[in-house]
Amino acid sequence: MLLIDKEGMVVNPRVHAARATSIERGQMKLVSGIIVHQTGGSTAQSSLSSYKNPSANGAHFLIEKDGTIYQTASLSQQTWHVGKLKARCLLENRCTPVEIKALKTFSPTAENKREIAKQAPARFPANQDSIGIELVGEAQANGSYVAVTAAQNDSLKWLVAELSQTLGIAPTEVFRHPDVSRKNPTEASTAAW
Amino acid sequence: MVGRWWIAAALGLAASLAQANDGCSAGSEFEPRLCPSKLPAIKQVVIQQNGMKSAQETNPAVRCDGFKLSVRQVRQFLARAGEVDKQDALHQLDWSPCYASGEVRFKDGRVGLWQISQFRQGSLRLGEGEPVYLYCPACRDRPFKQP
Repeated sequence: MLLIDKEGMVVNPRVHAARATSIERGQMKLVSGIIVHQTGGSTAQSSLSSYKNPSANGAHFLIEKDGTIYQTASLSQQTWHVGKLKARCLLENRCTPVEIKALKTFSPTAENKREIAKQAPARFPANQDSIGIELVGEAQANGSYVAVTAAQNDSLKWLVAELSQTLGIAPTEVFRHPDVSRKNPTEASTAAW
Repeated sequence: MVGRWWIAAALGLAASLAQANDGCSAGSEFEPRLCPSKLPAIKQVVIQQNGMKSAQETNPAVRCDGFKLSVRQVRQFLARAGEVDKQDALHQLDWSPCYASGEVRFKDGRVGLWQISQFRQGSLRLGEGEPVYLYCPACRDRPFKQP
């Protein structure tokens, strides 16, 4: 069980505070799930530096290749880490005829708009109700992301378990980024929790 | 009370003007902040790969042979696209398995390698180092319309 202070910051020796208010995008009233990402960069420092930009985007946690966990945004604040949502019903084979008809006209923007109007877990967790965890890891020359390190997976496993227990997140509501929106399928594909 | 409203309005106007000064859009939850690319005029575009499917896409049902760009469409993309931050490109923009790629020669003598994907996202590598990430919401020719 994690201790979370009134600012939404985790108080635990394994979590280093590196809050960047520049990536916070308004109050998050409810947490429905967790989305696991890879940064696209090779060091935590490159992400932390980019978060200093006033228009930067990021997620709530950042895990360095050596397993060091940084908390980069308050858990009571949204961050824009998800992008446009894919239709969850399609992946779970439970779309209604109306949804199937709407999905025949391919439009990620319209699809996202319809999804956002639903409540989780009828849709995937979104910016408004999910915690983002970034694993430091670059895309290689062939376009595939590097493998997540063992130290990162140890830290990820601990963090997901603690956040899930503390905030009441079901194991079914923890996803890799490409599961919920249109992303490079290799992003976080080697993440394990 | 009225005085405070005027101060807030003036501060808001100043902020929006500051944003306008760098030529970048403000961005939103689902659209990245877009900045002018400042690329030099194009001399020549060569398409080396067209209708390609990314090796990262393992779904055999996904086909990319319908995504074929003409030289004119590549030129238009490079001319109309804005620059996006790498983080925004990865977090906010949609990734597509379908892409085209090739070389571009600019009138100032520089040569770059471009890649453009079906969801109007692209990159341009000029020499060594990080590529420039591009996004062209105005590119709506047929190949960019979805499968």
